[in-house]
Amino acid sequence: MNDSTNTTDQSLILGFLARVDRRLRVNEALEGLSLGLWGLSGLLLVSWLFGIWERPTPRTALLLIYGVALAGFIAWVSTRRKGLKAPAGVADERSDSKDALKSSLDFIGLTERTRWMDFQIHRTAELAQGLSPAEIAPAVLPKPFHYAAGLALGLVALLSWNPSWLKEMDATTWFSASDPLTADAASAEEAAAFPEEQEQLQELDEALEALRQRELEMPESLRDLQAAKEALAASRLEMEQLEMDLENLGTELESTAALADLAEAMKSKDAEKAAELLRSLAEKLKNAQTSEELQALLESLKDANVQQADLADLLEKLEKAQGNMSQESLAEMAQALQDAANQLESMSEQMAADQAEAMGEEMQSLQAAMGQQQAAGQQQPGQQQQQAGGQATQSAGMTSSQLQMAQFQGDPSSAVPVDAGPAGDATGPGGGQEPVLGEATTLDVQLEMELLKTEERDEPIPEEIFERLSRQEKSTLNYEALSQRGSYAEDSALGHESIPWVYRSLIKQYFLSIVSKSEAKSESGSEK
Amino acid sequence: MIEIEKEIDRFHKQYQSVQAEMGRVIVGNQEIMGGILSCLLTRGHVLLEGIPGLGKTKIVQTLANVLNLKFNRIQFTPDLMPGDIIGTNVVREREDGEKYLDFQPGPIFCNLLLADEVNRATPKSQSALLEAMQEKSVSVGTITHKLEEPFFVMATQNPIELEGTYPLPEAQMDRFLFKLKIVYPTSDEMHEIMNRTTQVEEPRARAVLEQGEVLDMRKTVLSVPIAKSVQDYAIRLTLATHPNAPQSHPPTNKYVRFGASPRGTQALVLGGKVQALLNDRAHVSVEDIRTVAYPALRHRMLLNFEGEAEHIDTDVILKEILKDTPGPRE
Repeated sequence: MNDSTNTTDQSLILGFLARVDRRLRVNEALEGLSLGLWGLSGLLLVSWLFGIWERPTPRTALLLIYGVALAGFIAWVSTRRKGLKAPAGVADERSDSKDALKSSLDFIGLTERTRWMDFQIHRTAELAQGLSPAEIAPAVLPKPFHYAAGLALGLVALLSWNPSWLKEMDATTWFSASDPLTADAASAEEAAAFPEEQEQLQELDEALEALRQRELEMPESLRDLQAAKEALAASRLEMEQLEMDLENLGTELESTAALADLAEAMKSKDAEKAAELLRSLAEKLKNAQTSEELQALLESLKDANVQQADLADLLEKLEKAQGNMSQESLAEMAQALQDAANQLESMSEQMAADQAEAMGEEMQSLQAAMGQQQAAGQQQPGQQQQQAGGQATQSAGMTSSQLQMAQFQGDPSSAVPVDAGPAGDATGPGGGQEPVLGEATTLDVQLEMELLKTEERDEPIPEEIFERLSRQEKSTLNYEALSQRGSYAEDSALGHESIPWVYRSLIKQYFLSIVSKSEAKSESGSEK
Repeated sequence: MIEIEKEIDRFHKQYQSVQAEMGRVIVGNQEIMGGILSCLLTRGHVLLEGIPGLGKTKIVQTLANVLNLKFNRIQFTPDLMPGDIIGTNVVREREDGEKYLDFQPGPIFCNLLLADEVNRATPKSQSALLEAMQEKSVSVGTITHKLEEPFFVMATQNPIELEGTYPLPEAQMDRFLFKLKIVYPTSDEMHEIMNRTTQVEEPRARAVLEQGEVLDMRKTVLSVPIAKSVQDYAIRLTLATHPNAPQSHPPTNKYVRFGASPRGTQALVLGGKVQALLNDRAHVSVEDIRTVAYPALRHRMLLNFEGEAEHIDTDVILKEILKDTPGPRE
């Protein structure tokens, strides 16, 4: 073969591969573009969520940076060359030429070639002439490109149009709502329970929105905020007054023996327990069979010299219950007591929320105090707790958690109104009980339990027998004599295996260990 | 250019004529016949493994008839001695009464040697074939006798009879280019075997290829070029059979003690060249290498104790290797 023919063949192959390479790079650039469009969609979403989209300057800067980065990426993809081996591989695969192009490319790179190699190059050149780069590597828009483009265009259009419902959907507030530290799962319930506070919040929201829309001037906004703060403080004072009233009511009911528990619960501000007791009283009235029983209950209610006027609703309901009793309409009376119980329950929820807040403050002050004391390193841990407790009492008043703590430490001066269960658990046992210890966790006890468990086994497992004998170097175990737990159906196809399947792995491990030992010995011997 | 095309064409015709002639006697087993011819045309030797009665010896005898080459058969037995294979010096007496040592060549001096049931002889006798298979020569005393080309050993062994047999040493095993497993014929093939072998006259194959033509075919095969990327694939396949190597696979690490030697890669490349010519190509492709991977590598992997205990077939490990080893890199 003459040189000119050879050169023509080579140039044909190389030209074909270069065309395929270009097409492949275009496809890569399109893939990069689709990736970039996904990125753009993400960027648009993020900019909307963080409110960047509505500010012209950051928006323009962001889009500019994105555009430059994307253009750079596509330019890099389009211009980088990885050689012709990759297109040769792709062309071989897609034309089913059995590595002809790849082999020929290899042969072309050789300085010395045999006539068989030249022949192969010639054959491949003929093959390349018959192939179309467009068929081998068609420029195809990848499927994700369509989705990404659609999404990006949709988002751009939506954000540019900025309809009213999108404005209402203020995404920047989502983050504060979804923040686990600030989000309250019971916020909706609270909203229903405390409409006044909700109203104040609504006002605050409106003020903020107005501020955002720049409809309000700064002094106006400050005034609104001050008003909202005062309203919140007032509602807190109201709550404290309510708690005090409940305590007073408890003191008044104290004189009646039948209502002692109720009085105790009210005094301890345990509204939930009080509600429960009122419910049980309603049940008793419903189920009262004899007139004597009714009379006794009536007497006990009458004896209760309720004078507290601040809990107007509750008392009204209690009076209604009393009135109904006189008319001997038991069902109505029970319903009245149920209503009273419901009201107390809602009070209990509000008090629990306040308690949680107070406890948070208390914990903060406690941590601060402990941190100071640790730094100083002068006081004992018990003293630290007491001191911290004292500080918390000064700052936040005596809370239920402190009462619990005092009870646990055996402080006789503290009241015992709440149960000894975990904080916030109003369904636990009553006060004065011994603290329940959890399961013993010491190592000795655990080991003792394990020992007891192992002693329960009556007969040793076969593996243990085998291992015990092996350790004593008396492994004269007759495997065939052992009871066979494996079935013969599991045996090998030829059926020549005399060792049960159950013990095969053990035997294998045994011999493997011997092999490893003997190998180790032989290696050490050879080293010597 | 035209010469090479003619050469390939001629190779095709000769190969097909041998196969067609063997097909007159042998039913089915096209792959086995192809494998044997590949070994013959690449200066290799072949080991046939199969249970008795599947026609191992028949295939070899038929090939000898078709090729018109000098054929010898050695039935390996436990009492076979190396001298019985390679020959020995005998004392002769001239007319004048002078005595001299004369070399009496053994049955190994032939073109096609059938080592029947090779694993029945002791390793000492089996090893008598080592030099002949690799160097194509036999040394007796201080004299080395060259064997005539082509020299081709076809050994058979029975895989299920273990008593009274001696497994081939690794060095001996490695010298076989391919290990071919003869499988049981299908129902249709059995019908055909019955029709051919239960009549008055059995079909006989005639010689279609001379010694020189076989040597020419060998040259053609060895001329086929292979690209570096494809050769690299063959090397990676071989290295993947080695335990604890960077290219090795989990089953290899678990069950294999020693992997294939460079002879394994040679077998892959040479077998690939025959496959390329048979597919009318002037270059070896990855597919050619993959086609011959099983016969070329299955007997070169030495199982460890765990592999032996669990009766692992090296074909299973090779399947995993072929599945996991990627084609030529870019």
